[in-house]
Amino acid sequence: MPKLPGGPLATRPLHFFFIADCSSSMTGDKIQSLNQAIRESIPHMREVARGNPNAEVLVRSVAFANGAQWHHSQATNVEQFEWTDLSAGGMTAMGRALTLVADVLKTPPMPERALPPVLVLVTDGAPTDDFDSGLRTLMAEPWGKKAVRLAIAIGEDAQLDVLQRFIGHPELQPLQASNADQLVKYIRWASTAVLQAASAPASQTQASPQGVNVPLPPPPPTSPGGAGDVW
Amino acid sequence: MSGDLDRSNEAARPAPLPTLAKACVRGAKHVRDNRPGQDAIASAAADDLVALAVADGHGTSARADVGASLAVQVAIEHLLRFGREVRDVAELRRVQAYASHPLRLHLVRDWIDRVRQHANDDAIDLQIYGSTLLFALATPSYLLLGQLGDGDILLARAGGDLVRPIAADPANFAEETSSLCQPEAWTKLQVRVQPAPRAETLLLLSTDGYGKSYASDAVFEQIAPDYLEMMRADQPADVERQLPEILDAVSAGGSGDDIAFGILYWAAPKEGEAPCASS
Amino acid sequence: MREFVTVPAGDRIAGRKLLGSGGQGEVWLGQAGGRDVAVKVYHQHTATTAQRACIERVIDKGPPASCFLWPLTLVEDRAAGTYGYVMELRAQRFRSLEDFMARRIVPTFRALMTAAWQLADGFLRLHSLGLCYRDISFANVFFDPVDGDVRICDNDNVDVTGTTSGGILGTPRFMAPEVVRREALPSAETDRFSLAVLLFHMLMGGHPLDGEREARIRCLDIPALEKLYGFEPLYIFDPRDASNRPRKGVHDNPLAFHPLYPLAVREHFERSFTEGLHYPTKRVRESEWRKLFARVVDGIVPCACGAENFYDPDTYTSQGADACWACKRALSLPPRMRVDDHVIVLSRDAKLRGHHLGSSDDAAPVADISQHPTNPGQLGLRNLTATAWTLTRPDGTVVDVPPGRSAAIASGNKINFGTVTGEIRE
Repeated sequence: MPKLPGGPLATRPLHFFFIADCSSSMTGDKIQSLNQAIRESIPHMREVARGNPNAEVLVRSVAFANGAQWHHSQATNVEQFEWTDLSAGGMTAMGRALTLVADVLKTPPMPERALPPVLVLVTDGAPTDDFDSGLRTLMAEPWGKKAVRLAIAIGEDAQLDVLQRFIGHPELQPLQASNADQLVKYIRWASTAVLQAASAPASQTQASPQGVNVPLPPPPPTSPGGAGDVW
Repeated sequence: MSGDLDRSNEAARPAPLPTLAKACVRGAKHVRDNRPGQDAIASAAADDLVALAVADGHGTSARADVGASLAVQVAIEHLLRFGREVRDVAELRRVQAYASHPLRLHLVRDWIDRVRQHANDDAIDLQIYGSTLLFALATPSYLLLGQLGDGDILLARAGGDLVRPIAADPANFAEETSSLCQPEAWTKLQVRVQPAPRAETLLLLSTDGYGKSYASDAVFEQIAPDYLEMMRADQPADVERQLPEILDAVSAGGSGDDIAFGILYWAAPKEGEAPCASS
Repeated sequence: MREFVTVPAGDRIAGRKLLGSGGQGEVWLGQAGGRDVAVKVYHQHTATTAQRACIERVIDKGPPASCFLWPLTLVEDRAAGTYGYVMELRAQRFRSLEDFMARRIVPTFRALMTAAWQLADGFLRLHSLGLCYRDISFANVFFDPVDGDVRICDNDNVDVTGTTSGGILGTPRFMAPEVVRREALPSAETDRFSLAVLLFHMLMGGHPLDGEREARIRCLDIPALEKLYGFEPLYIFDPRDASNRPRKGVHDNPLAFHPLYPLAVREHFERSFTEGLHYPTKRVRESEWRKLFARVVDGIVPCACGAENFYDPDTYTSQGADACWACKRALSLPPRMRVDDHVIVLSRDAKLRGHHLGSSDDAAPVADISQHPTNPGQLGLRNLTATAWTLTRPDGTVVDVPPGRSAAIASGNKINFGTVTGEIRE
């Protein structure tokens, strides 16, 4: 290994955010299924990260109910990241959650040469606060605009048009999980297949004003769920 | 401020030509995935001209490697022709004006024609071949630089003086870049003409895989004094021999991306020669 | 980072960020006493004493109009041994003509016509100060694609009419043919040619002489370019000679845009680039362009499909309503107001400006369209001036319309604006 000209090399940070709905309607098996689904994904995320040594996958999470809080506030390398269970109770301050994320997507603290961040929003209902204001704040940040934004709707009560606005990409829809299996599958897709795509340094020209910079793999097909598991 | 008379005397003396070292490596990620590289590099030295071009085909474009390869070929051809046609120019503003038009326009049109020829289809979607392009042309009286899309051009002198002669394009951010495949792309190709260097000077031209291997611009720019030292101490061929290994290591430890990288180096005038113009 | 010092005051300006760099110099974002400004600073090799004198003259004259980003104060960069000048920062909303040509922005026809009006108006004011351009290009012209406001930059190439220029700089695409042939010096007449070329870029997205003949020039061939722009120029839509038509796949913008404009617009361009090529006195004057664009803006009729159509009161007939050029359905014509010889279609985007009311001064709107607070179908003309208007209804009753209030748009209503009176017809 030759002595390299210049200063220290750096791999590119890839900031990954779980943004989770902890409202009262999530109490019981929904929040437990979500916790389980995320826990199960972490080893697979680590595998993806190991296969992409040039991307440094840093994970954080936000929990929102009456307000919005950092659940995991320190951007932690996925190799060391340990999930703490979410608990539910309260309203659905989705807008506030986006404002929280927008704040850490400013430059600084975001570095100049990061990979596009990945935001995974999971919810079972409609926002009870000013969602549009939160979304505007997020999209006002250049890194917010460039982020890959995914949404997973649990059950039938989530507002899909709100989620579609969050996604902001005509070719990508909110994923609807109507049972625990589907939730696991979608969380896995978001945290591994999408992570894989986002880890690749693939420059491109702007496809459309809302174009996503990361060529996303197709989400897993929906399959009929197990009996008794439908929400 | 010097008067106009000083300037014309200076212009009469031709500046020395630079030496060149270059390399292009497949990114660590492409090596792992067993996929071809999508960057390209080309250079030419003819009579008293030295031309260098690098290009980065878009990761999401199927024939990006061809797009990049055509881009550097077209660039070198047009640069050499430009250098032969536009000479002995007392006013660099004229060179700049000709670079603005028609060089930019004809270069991009030629790339489009060759892409259409390669595809054997006049209506081909140019995005498939999309690529960035950076270039430099050194002549005895001027240095012409061009940049379309992301990548870095650094101009450094002994003593730590470092500039980026072409202003950052706000369109190049977070994997997005301006490209040859966009409509009227020639309007996004920035060209800059300046007097040929007469003091010891280093020009670095690189696709973005290099710069993205460092935490910030400031850290990346630290490569300049080290390369200056290398080109001062070694023969260009020796430097060139070392480059692939260096670039492989940079990609592996940094961005994982392809890197096309070129150096132009103007040595300090020797003892006994007329002293340099003031820095 | 750079340090600039104003001349003669000696105030310091810190150059914080490089905004752009070109052949003549660089433009820096500067901080002057807490305020953000732009500083253009010349490269060492372009910082001649002659250019400095020119800048000083330009600074002295002051800007002809607010759309000019004008040199305000001379500065020196003592460390770099060069000079430059301070100007207002160009706000983000202004986009370059290049952005339009590359379709990175898609302005409305209304915005384009408004911008064209302002450009013509700007040139008129420049000339009335005895100044002209030595070297203008579309890289100097910016406009807001939303409202059409224009900014003209790089005014360091402005000088007193008739001043010996330093010779033609590079490809003379914007210079009048007689200047290219070195038969004349820059003047208001040669500027009129440049204005026409700029307007053509603004409305058609390309150059009026770049057609088949231009497509055949493959590399830098200076004699061929001088022939194209100076010795044998030929309009791409010349009615009598089709040998220089735009080539499909190369000059697509003019091919796409030209058919969309009203006849009057196309006729003005035709005059500019047929007789206007050879007879400077036959060129369209700035005041003629202004009148044309004001008339065209006034006549914009929106279709329900979103496309903007052009209405010409002289050619419109009440039977057989025009069809929308985009969706082909019949257009429904909104009410119009006649003020002197202006006929303004009162669509939701319509604006009345100073020139409608007789003062040729301002581009600033004096009236716009408002919606009745409780009856959304009822539109009104809102008073944006500082003085009250009076509304006379068809039955003769008279009512005041104070500043900020709106007069209902209904057939037969007459509005007295003070200097003139306008009448509304459906």
